[in-house]
Amino acid sequence: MESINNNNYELWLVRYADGDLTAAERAAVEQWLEGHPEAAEELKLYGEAPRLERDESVHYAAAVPGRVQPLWPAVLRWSAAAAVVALVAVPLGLWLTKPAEEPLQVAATEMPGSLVKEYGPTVVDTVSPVHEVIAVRTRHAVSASGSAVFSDADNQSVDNDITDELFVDAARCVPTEEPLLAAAEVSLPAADTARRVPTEEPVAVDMEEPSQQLVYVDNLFTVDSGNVVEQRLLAVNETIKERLQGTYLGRRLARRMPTGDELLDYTDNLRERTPEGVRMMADMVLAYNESNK
Amino acid sequence: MTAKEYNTSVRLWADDAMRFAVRCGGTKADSEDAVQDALASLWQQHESVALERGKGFLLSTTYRRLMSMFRHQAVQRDHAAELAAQESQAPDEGFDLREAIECALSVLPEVQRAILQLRDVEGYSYAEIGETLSLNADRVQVYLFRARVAMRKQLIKLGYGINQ
Repeated sequence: MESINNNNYELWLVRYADGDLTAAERAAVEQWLEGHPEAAEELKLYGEAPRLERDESVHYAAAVPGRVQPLWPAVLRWSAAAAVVALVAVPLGLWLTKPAEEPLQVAATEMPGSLVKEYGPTVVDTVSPVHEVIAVRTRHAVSASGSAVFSDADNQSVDNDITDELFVDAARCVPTEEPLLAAAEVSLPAADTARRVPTEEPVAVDMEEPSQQLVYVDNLFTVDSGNVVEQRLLAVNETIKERLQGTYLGRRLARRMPTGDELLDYTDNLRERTPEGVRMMADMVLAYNESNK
Repeated sequence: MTAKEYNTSVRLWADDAMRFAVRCGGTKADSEDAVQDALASLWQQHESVALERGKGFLLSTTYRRLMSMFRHQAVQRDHAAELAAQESQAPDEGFDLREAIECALSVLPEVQRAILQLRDVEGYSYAEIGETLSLNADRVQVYLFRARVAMRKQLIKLGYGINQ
């Protein structure tokens, strides 16, 4: 190393203080310090500086003893669970608006077969009679006016709204394969269906002033039910925001709008790395349905 | 690193990463975000990161995330202004040495705070600190020297002399 001078004396003094110098080098440093009292003072201050101690009062909030979990999946669970709530809320909304007397026509869901077996017909994509809902699977986003907004989730243009992006991701979460189950018809007990009779009439959408709220659905629904579904989605949106409060994703959402790619990353990671996440999403959907009975 | 080892890493080192981020000048929310990002990054790369390198990975990534946040927020830390603000803060009866040290630390550049934390608390060697912060080991020693000298000067200004 170059001999001590005004440009490198700090490095020399650290090594001097650490005892890393030879006797000859120490002597050279001490001789140089005699002619540089400012540097000698700095060396004195360096030696007097207190050493930092571990601040035991600081903890990472998520690392609670006894509840240690991989945190990345925890983030994914929230976004994905919110997405699936949104995904199920659409057909659920349609179902809730259906007259109780008519038998329900239940179409297959896109959930994995194991989940369908486990959870039975409770978590299914419900479809109203043909005059209300065209039970044709599509991947078009539609506005409340019923017009298609975009046809490809990867080539989208969504409003600056959290829900929209979550809903878009909900769609991306869904496998593209054909439905796993064939369509079936079931009849719910009278008491059960009576509980689901809507208390207010659906409000027709004003075709002259279509809503800007984007709604993504797997089943293309007609205009007269669109507004009701939209209202229910907005309610779900509030639930999502509420549940995200205090979480990592919630804080990020509060500060800025996440990009579609970020949300896509979350859901992609969930699908690829945490198969149990699907089960959790189903649990959340069931809990959400239960709380809304 | 297996998934189980990843969980162990979270349990063992998340708090350390959080303390590191706070010492570097991050707010609680920013620090949590930086640590969260680091944990996410570790999970994404857990198959290629050995357990014994997990802590270094977490601290290094936390530091980079935090610095990125500072740049993103366009936080131009005016150390002279902070110093002036600290000078005007006279120590009172409730101002103990620990608070004085934190106060003195707050006027240091983030990289110097990071080095102090890694050296004093984590016990890292200069080479390890350099690897964590992407710095030359010689540069680490120079920054450490400047950090200690500046912190000591600040403590003296705050009324903490040699024997305190």
